[in-house]
Amino acid sequence: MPPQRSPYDVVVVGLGLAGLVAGLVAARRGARTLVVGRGQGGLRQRHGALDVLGYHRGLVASPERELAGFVSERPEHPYALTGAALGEALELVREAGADQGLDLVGDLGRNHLVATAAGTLRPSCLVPRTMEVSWPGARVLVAGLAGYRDLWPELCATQLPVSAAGFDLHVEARAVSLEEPSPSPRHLDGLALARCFDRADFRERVAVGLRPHLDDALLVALPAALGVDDSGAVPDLEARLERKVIELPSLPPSVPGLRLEQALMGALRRAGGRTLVGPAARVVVERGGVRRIELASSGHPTPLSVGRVVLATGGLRGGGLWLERDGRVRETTAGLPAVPPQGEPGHSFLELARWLAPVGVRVDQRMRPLDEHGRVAVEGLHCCGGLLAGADRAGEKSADGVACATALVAGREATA
Amino acid sequence: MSGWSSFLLLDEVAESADRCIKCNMCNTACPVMPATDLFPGPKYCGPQLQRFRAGDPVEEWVDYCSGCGACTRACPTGVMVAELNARARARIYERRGVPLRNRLISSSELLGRLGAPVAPVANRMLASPAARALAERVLGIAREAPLPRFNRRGLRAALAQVQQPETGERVAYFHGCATGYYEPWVGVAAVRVLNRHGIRVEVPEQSCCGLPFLSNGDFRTGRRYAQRLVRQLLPAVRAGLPIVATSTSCSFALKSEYEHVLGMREPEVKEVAAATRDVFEFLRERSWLGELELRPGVLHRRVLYHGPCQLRSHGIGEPALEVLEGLAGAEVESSWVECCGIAGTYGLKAEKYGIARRVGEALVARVEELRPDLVACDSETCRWHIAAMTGLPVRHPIELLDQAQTALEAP
Repeated sequence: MPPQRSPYDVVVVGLGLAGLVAGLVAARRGARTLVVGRGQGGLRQRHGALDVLGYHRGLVASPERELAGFVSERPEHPYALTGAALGEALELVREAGADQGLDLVGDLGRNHLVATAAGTLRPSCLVPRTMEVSWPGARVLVAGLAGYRDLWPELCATQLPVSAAGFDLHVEARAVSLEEPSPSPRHLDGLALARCFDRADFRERVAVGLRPHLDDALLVALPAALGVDDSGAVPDLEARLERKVIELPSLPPSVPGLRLEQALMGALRRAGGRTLVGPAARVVVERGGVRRIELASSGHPTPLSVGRVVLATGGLRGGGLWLERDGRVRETTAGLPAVPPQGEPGHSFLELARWLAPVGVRVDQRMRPLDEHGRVAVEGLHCCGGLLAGADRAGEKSADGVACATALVAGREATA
Repeated sequence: MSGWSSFLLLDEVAESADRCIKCNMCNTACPVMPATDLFPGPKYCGPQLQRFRAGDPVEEWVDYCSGCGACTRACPTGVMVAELNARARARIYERRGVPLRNRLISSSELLGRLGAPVAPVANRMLASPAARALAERVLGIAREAPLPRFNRRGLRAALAQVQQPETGERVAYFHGCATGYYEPWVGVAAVRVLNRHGIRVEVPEQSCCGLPFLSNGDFRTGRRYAQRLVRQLLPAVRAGLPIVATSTSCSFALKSEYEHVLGMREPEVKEVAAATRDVFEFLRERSWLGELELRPGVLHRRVLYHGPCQLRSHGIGEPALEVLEGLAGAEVESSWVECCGIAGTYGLKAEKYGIARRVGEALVARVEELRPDLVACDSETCRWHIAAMTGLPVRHPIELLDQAQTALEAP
């Protein structure tokens, strides 16, 4: 029995970057908005910076300058549909973050190079202040802490100058492993370490341990775990060390990703939106339109009548798409038509990843799903983020830009 | 050991462990991990150790899982982590024997019945520091842990004085032990609110749902209670009556845990699960359907609403919050906190009370930030724990709704 009244104007399915941005846009435009997802969204597994366009025939210095040429070569790419929405979406995330105490820096004008725990430099556009570095001539002290395995300082310090040389930058790096303070003896993932860094006494002990090793270092690089709740942890460490301190993203759980998620959720709630972590959602489509949404609640489904639906369920990794054994791709939430992989899968993991990269749901400029004839497949529904076809997110380093830009359009269209 | 086949059964709960991709989302959601080093976390205790559970119990740390379910809700691939943990705990106690303490704190129904006739004496005893110190030493029940007060008059006696409407839709009320024996006023408020919306409330014969036994590792007793309650509620369900409940942990047992923790596959269990509604879920659903007009109410209070962990596991959002927000004059904020720490009977145990308090710090911080007049929470043990931690009055939201609607009716 479908509900007769509409409790929500917009239901967004998916709690990752795209879902939270789409929900925020819809809620700020006055729509009663619910963002629901099966489990936590993907941000806690990502690095917390926003990649827009990192590679296109080599390193992209300025996404803004590169984009026109990029989309003319790739008319099927989501960026070919979103136009000015990309810059607006980045500004929205930056401003929502600032409002919630999260300092993100950057704009479409140029890419930053973010150092990782593996000593690589990845091009990213909107980055946490704690990852922003001016690299030319940088002298880095990479500091690990005993027991935290996800930053091996020697690896990072060895690799960082090599990575920098690849971009014609001269960077020097040294490694130090602190035996003291030994953080909590167990549970030493990034989140547990970050909870230690929330405490001023722990930071002071780290600073005491580091001071003898500083020498001529201009930068101190630590695991991207410098506090969960205390946004003053990094400035505090910088004051204690009299050096700039940066965070190196490493394995999940990602603390910078968690901070971004919490900031966007906070902004969403402040705008009157609701979030629901747990139940999977199914979109019931009848006669080419959205009839209702069913949440897989305990005991019995919860049917929601809804004005518009935004699908931000992710791609193959996020669960929004499913690859069948015969090579067909299934969209899991509303049964939308999806573009299958083209050509041969190849042999190596990388070839397979590239083969699967562009699969997904094809959309029009309003983020409405299209069938194989280019007609709107389902009315009342908009798609965004990893679900969309046509982008090689890992190869281009474009996942977050695609998510934000398409989510902004989807959120607007759902409230149009 | 025929009664224990469900632990070894390869049902979809056990198989869900294979969906773990080690993404650590469960660990980021777990409120117990940051509060103690004694618990290795949901990923380790759930899907990883599940590999080794074909034979004898292999670990004891899983007993530090509070069963709040945050891990199951956080999992993006559908691993039923908390359910795996509950089963693993039961296997430990199957082997070692369930301690007297666990059986005692599980026996909310028996205690409620025994305590009622001697309520004043029993309450004085529970309030006595000496008696509590003794209970901690002998039984392992934390002396500071919040316990309910016995009530001389149970829910049935209290309801005898409520004049219900003679016609209208009928529902069956599943009140749970806390409302049945300790806080009958919650049930009275529920009946009054439902009556006010033209709904007649029947109270079928009912026993404890068995949930405390499930979370204390005594599946044998838990299953006995579960089977009995399903038998007791089934006639109402078959007559087409929704089962409406005010205890969100007990109703979660009906909706999910009989099947997913105890492994009860009987169709009758599914029938009862499908008919069960939290009282606010019921009101919200009927109003969405246009079958019920929610009566207005006025409540000049600043309310912090805390959706208990087990309500979150229903996957229905926070219907009580949505209803309370509609009351005139009310300033309502959600806690956005995963768990208050007590998690049913977890925090009553001497070795876990400190953990429960540390988990509860997030909620206490929210109280200090928002400075509400009172806290609203749908689950009884959470209410007692939050009241003890904050010193604030803590009410079931149905009491507030009843109060608010009554305020508008008064001449």
